[in-house]
Amino acid sequence: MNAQHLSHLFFLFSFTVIGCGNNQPVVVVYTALDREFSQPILERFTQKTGIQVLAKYDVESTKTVGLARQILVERNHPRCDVFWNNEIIHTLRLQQEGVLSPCFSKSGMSYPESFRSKDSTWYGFAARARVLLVNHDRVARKEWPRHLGDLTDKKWKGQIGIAKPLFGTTATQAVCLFAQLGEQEAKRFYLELRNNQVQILSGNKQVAQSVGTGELSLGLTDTDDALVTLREGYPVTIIYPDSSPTQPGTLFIPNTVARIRSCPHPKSAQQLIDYLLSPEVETALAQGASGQIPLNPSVNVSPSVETPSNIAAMTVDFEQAALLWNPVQTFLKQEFTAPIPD
Amino acid sequence: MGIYVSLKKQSFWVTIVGISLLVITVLNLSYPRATTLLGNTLLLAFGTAAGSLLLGSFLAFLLFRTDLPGSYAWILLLIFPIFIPLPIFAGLWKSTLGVQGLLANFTGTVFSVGMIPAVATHTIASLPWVILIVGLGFRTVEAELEETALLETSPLHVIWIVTVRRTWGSIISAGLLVATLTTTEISLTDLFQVRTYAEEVYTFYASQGALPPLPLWNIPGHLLLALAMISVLTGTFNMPPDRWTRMWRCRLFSLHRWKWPAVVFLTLTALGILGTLLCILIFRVGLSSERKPISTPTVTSTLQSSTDEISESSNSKFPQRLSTVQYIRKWSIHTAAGSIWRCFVSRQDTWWLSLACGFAASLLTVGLLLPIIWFGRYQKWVSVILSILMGGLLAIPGPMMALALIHFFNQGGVLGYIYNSTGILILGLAFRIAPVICLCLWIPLQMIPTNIIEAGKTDVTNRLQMIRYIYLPLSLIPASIALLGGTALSMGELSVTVLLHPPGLTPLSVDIFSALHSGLYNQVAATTLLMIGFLFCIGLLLAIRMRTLKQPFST
Repeated sequence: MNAQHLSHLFFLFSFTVIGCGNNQPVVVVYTALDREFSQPILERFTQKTGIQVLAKYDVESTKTVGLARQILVERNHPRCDVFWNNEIIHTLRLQQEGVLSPCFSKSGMSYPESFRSKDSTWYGFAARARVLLVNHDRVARKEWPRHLGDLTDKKWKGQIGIAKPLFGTTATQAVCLFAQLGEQEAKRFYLELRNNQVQILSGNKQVAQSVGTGELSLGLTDTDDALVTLREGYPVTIIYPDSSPTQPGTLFIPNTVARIRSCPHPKSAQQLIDYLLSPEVETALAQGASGQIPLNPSVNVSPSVETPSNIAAMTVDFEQAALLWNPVQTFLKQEFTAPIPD
Repeated sequence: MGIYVSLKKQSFWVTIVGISLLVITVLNLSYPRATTLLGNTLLLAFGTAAGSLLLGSFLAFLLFRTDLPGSYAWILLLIFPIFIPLPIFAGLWKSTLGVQGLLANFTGTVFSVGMIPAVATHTIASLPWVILIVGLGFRTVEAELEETALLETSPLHVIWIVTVRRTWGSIISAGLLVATLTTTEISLTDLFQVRTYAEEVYTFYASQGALPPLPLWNIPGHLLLALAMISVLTGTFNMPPDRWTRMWRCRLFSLHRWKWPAVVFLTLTALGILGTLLCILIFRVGLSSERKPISTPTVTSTLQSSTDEISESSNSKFPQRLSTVQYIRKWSIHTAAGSIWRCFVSRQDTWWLSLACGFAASLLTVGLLLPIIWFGRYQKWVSVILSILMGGLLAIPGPMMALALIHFFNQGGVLGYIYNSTGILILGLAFRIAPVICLCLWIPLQMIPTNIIEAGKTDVTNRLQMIRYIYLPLSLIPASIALLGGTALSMGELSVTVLLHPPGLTPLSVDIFSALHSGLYNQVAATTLLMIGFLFCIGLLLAIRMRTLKQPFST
């Protein structure tokens, strides 16, 4: 057998073996939750049901057109069955676009009404909080900020980091703040933050790491990223902003799961959604490295972070907040995508 | 290999006019931040081109035109980083030069964010391309001209008035390629927070879910860039075959007493680029953190039984988190070896997938281009069409190409089948590597003297025999080099791969990129080290093939 024959064999292998599947039932899931956290859950689902999960993971950066965008692009010929989002606003936007299909889930009904849609198009579970991460080697304890508003203080000029506010939970928080504070107050906050030379990083992980390594004094990030940084041994402390009873509260953002309209494997999709909403998954996510907060009252685990039952949580009508998406995005894009040089 | 781009004199003016037109066009358009974006884009492109051309041209001359000891090994070593994906390259450099990186004591915060680290990292990443293109340009300078000039003046003066002057085309081509790659790239600008046109387009598309406004597309800019690249490629493809064969007969300048200082300089450069990178990788792959409890006697615990942290109420209104444990970071060889082994075992599917898709894309491209390029030896118009196609492919940013493929293939029927399989990824990769493979094939095939082919024709009776006994054997070496190079490039390709890979399959570059963004530097380092090892093996194979090719048709 010469080199040419080998090449032919390899060519055939490339096109056939890899491209072909088998007769095992499958479900295609697009998941925005970090692969390190979501993959074990999906593998457990396969073990339990025998349904093969074909997952497409998001990457935490702005370089990709996100999964929600891809679902919209594919809406006429969907290949995705289940969208497992790590936040809620994009799911609501997909719902408003009519891309989601109602899907009644028994296990989903045990969640509070505020975390599931009235028409059963989406369900919320396992939340994360938006927190401040402080490098306690760089910032003395008495100076630690207590409120989001403290970030506009001139003493933090150039020392604060946030992820690009057009994506992910940072965008969700912006929309929620606009809904909570009103347009004028929220705009004032973000403009002052920009004038305070806030550093715009590509993701919440980068924010947490920059605070951990001391590049920045403090940053606005998610609890899972903060926990990872803390456990890596960096000198950081987590602060829950505005969390006293008299204040608006810390924002908690749930994961959401939804079935795509006209998806190719609706039955498998239903099974996966049921599984993701089961107490087993919330327990695993709470006890895992991401330390997510269970929303199902029947889940009885001690989370490794504060929960809405311990501290004041921001009350947000997510569906109303989602309607503000476009104007908020326009404002943030103008102010944050190409900041005026110093 | 064999990438050499010659630019005719008028192409230089095409470039200058193009850039001027780009400036004027963009300034006249009404996009609100046009000036900022344009300033950043041009500064990044020109800064990178200037930096990489200055250093790269000097290195290219040392490596390709002097009697430097071990020049062949140096060339391979310094060109090797071409195959390391840019986001990984940038991420690792940032983790070295950024605050609290390995070299932070020397660099301070200069390399944290902004234009300086962006230009510096792009410059380092572009160096291999410049060395290769300019170096091969140096090799094709006419030895007769240099020897005649040497009768009249000193070697240094000859280098300046003959060698460098005859290589201007290559230097400008290299600069143009660097500027093209820099202006269409977004991962590095994102990492260092430099806002450019390219990033603005992607940000707009990703956040708004709509096509960006027309001024943002910067169509005149990309059109002119494509035209400039087409001009360069046309120059290359239309160069007389004897020009290429000069490569093996060029004159080497003697370094005399500067020989060993040059070796030291090259060693420092190689250590600075590759050595540092390897050190970072080895440091990262062996790093782990160990949990150790610390005493916090003054705090009031409410969650202590279940967590690593406790809630403190020194100011009862504001609960805060304080650690009751600390994590000590330490490095060990066991961790390093374990990480690499685990990565190798657990990611085998990823490796095979990337290898198979990369090879398939490479094979597809070589298979399509090979007959066209042979045909192009006899028909000049083929080279013009190829120049247009390849120039266009070079100038189109990867994500844009991927989006176009998604829109085209996300249909029913056969197109849908391709979209839902690895076929779409293989196609996307084939488009991305086509210009490089085209150059890899074109130049060696042009170097084959016509009399060899004509002599062979006397022994065959029909076209099928000509293909079997003349064209295929003569194509074997360049095709295998193109195959290996294309496979390696495909394995590291990210911008198209990240959008086109089907669900359930995660290619290597996406795997590394995700881990990099998730802060899993240990995993990134292990995978990158394995990848470097693999690419090194491919590099060795290429080197062996190149040695065979060194004087293939000496008469």
